[in-house]
Amino acid sequence: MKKIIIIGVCLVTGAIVYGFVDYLKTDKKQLQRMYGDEIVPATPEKAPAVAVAQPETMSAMNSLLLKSPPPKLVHKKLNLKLYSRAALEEKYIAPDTTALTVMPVMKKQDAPTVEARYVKQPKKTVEEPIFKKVSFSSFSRGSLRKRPVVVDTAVAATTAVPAN
Amino acid sequence: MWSGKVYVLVVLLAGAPTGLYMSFFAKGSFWERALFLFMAVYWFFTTAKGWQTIMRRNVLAHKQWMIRSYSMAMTAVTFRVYHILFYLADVDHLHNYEISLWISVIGNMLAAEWIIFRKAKSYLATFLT
Repeated sequence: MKKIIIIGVCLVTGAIVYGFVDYLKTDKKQLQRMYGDEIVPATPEKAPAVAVAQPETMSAMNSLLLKSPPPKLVHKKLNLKLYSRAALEEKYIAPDTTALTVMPVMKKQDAPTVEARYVKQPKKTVEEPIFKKVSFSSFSRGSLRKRPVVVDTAVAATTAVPAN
Repeated sequence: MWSGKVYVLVVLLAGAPTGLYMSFFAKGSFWERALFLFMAVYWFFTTAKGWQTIMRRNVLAHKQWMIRSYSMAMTAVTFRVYHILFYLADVDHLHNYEISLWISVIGNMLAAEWIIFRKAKSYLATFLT
């Protein structure tokens, strides 16, 4: 029982000392900056400029309003199409502005003669895969034997066994 | 029974020491920081006393000290309640923070003492009858 309280007291005293030292080390401006956005500015904000209408202009405006006919209320006709998914999607479909060109249909005799010609195709660049396909044959003994054996002629001459 | 032990261990070994350290960097003026420091020390002391009294089988004193300890633990809750109320009353943020902090700490301490007083009164009344 006492042990826990002693540990707690040690922790508390440690926290006080450590906290106080840390507090002395920290920059006070940094602390102020932490809560700086909440400080109320000393200077009051300027009141927005409000134009006060003079009585002469007021009477002129009233007469204009009385002369003008009241605006008509327009009720849009509601239908299901207005809320349909298709109608909503139509808004986002850009109108096709490209003109449709109609090609004239040619008769067989009018058709130009087509000459067949060999055209050299540009070489296709084949991208090599980063990882080569791994197959059993590449590691098999047979494929190793298939490899061309380069024989050094100088070495072969010295090591050659003379025929009896 | 276990919840009480866990509470005491958490307060003594984690809650109060960290609260003490953080009190130096708390928001507000010097007095708010001092209040946080006092809170942490008071919380530790009351919890330690509650632990000590129950170890001596003094249930009545244990209850009293634990009420005081819980009152400190509940300041975090009551602070937010006051904060919301003052926010609804259009009090500016910094003032709202300071007022609700002081009310929550002092109010909870007074509430704890009032509860203890009432319990003691009813307990003493049992001897009279």
